Amino acid sequence: MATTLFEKVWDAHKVADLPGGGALLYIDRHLVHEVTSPQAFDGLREAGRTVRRPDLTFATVDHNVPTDGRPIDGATLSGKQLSALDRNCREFGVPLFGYDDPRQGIVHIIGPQLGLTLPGLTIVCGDSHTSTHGAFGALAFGIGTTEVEHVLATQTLRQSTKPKTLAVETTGRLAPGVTAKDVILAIIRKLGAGGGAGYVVEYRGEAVRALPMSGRMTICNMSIEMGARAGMIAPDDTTLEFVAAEDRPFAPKGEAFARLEAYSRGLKSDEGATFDRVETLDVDSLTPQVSWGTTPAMTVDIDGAVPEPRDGSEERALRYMGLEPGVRMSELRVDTVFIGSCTNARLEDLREAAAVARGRKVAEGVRALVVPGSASVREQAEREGLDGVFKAAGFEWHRAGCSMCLGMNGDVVKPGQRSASTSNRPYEGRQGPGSRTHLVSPVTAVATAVSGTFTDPRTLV
Amino acid sequence: MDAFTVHTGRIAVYDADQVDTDRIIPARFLSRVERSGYGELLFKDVRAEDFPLDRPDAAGASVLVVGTNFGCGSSREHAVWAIQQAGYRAVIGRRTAETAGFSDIFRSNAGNCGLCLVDLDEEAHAALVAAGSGAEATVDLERQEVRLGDKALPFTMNPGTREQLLAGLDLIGTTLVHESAIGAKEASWDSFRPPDGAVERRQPSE
Repeated sequence: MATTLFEKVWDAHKVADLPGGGALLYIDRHLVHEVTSPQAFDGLREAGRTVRRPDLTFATVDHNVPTDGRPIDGATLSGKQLSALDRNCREFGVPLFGYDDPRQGIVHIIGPQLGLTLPGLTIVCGDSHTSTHGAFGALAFGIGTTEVEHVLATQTLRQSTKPKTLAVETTGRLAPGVTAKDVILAIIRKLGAGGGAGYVVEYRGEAVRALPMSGRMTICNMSIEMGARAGMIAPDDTTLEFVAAEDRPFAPKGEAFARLEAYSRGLKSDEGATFDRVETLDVDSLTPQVSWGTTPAMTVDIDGAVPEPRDGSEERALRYMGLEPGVRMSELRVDTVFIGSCTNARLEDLREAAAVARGRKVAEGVRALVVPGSASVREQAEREGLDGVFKAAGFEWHRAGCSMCLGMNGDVVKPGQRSASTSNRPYEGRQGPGSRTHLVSPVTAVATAVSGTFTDPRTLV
Repeated sequence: MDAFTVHTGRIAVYDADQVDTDRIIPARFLSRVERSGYGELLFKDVRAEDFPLDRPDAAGASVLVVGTNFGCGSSREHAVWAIQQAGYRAVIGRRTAETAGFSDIFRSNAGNCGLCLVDLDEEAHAALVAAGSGAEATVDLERQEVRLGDKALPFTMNPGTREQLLAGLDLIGTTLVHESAIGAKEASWDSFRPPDGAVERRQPSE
């Protein structure tokens, strides 16, 4: 019987059927960070349980680490949370890429970089953006803390229902200056912030195939922003070349890689496989996208205007964002520009952003910062001189972490201020109480930083 | 985990759609390592003088009525803890043709913590909103209905989640019933585990 990519990975990992049509799934990689794990380790300790597969479990610090060079203050709640992870990892034998480790970084950036993320695996993490890893054809779920404890103890995840399948078929070619970020914002805009609930999305078609792994990760990363259970892209040569790169110490080598390659070649939806639902997007005429409201679905073309509200949520969003219908995005001044997050802080993102920033200056009165996704992205960017380009243009250059995406570590947008951000959620208060976030691609972020208002990056080239 | 079977209490209505977990509990309150102390942080940044849950008629409510796609966004289980620790035993959302009452991860987290989530269709949900905060309602998970005055409003729940809530199951213990199947999977599937020696092990005493 013809099956989809999702069904193949699901079936390969099914340990048992559960009542109600769900299943118990075996988990191949469990990524752990400081914020959603302390209560899970406490639960293990109280029950006298151990971590079943410490060899498949990996921890790092990202949400709560300072990125401005401040030392970690052990007296603060953040400092205590970071040391709790260190203590828990030692006690339970889990490897930790800590604050001063060259492998530290945002969990969804380092997983692929280190070779932990592989085609056809099941991957979980106590973070909703775990969907990122689906770019490799992995089945990757964000989970809650009780589930973190469950996976630590059993190396399995209970799925109470089997997700439905949704194919997003892409056609056409992206114009220069239009990026994977614009593709996923356009998809979410079309399907709605809850439009993917209950589905695993497979992104297909020529526009996705043409993307490098960085762009594919950006797309899968934001699957959760339409409520999808996961996002996936079938592995191909691009995927395997990425995994085979020399600097992936945790990826299989030699005979093990050959087995992985053979497994990967079968990981695609069969001809004639049926999806529960199919949506399409043609990217030929796609323009840079910018969100205007408080969900990622409230998005317009960058040369567009704030729309008339259609419901109570949009009315509330207009009030919160301090906007009137009809105002052109190009008229809106920004106070802060943030380039970072698990969505857009890979080396490729920084290269594209630096190419626009080179020889230009951040507009007067705008605070702009670049926060690389990992310590090694930072190091590689510095080797290429990108930090110098950003600093010369007036950007701050930070250490790796989640930073201003969610404002846990002191990097925040001030109340009432408007932010152009390469992150993933323009929610009320997400970047700090009263912050007004607009989501954009890295190149749009730089163009906006330079001109001070939302700007189509293609007008600068 | 406490079991949930039948609960009668007053409702509090916060009829907003697309309420994300950042709004339920902002990220800056997630630095604590405990599982308690989140009740007073519920909706912290949106609480103002006229916030529906702070009005006198919502005082002492134990059933929260919300809109569609409640709990979208971050997977933080702290959102569920905050709702429970603020005194709520059940949350009732609105299911429309396009959108469920709750997002998927929030739904899993709630089930795992014993918080009962009820999806009502738009007409049934409207009856609760019309009754308003302070009205008494019964959430009956055994019969899968919400009772409001003389109305019985039916709902359905995934059988696995329902069983889990009714019995107050310890999930890890329940899963370990499948120990032999887990072991068999491990024996036949190596997870493409990282090469030996790729990671150094650290000692607890270090």
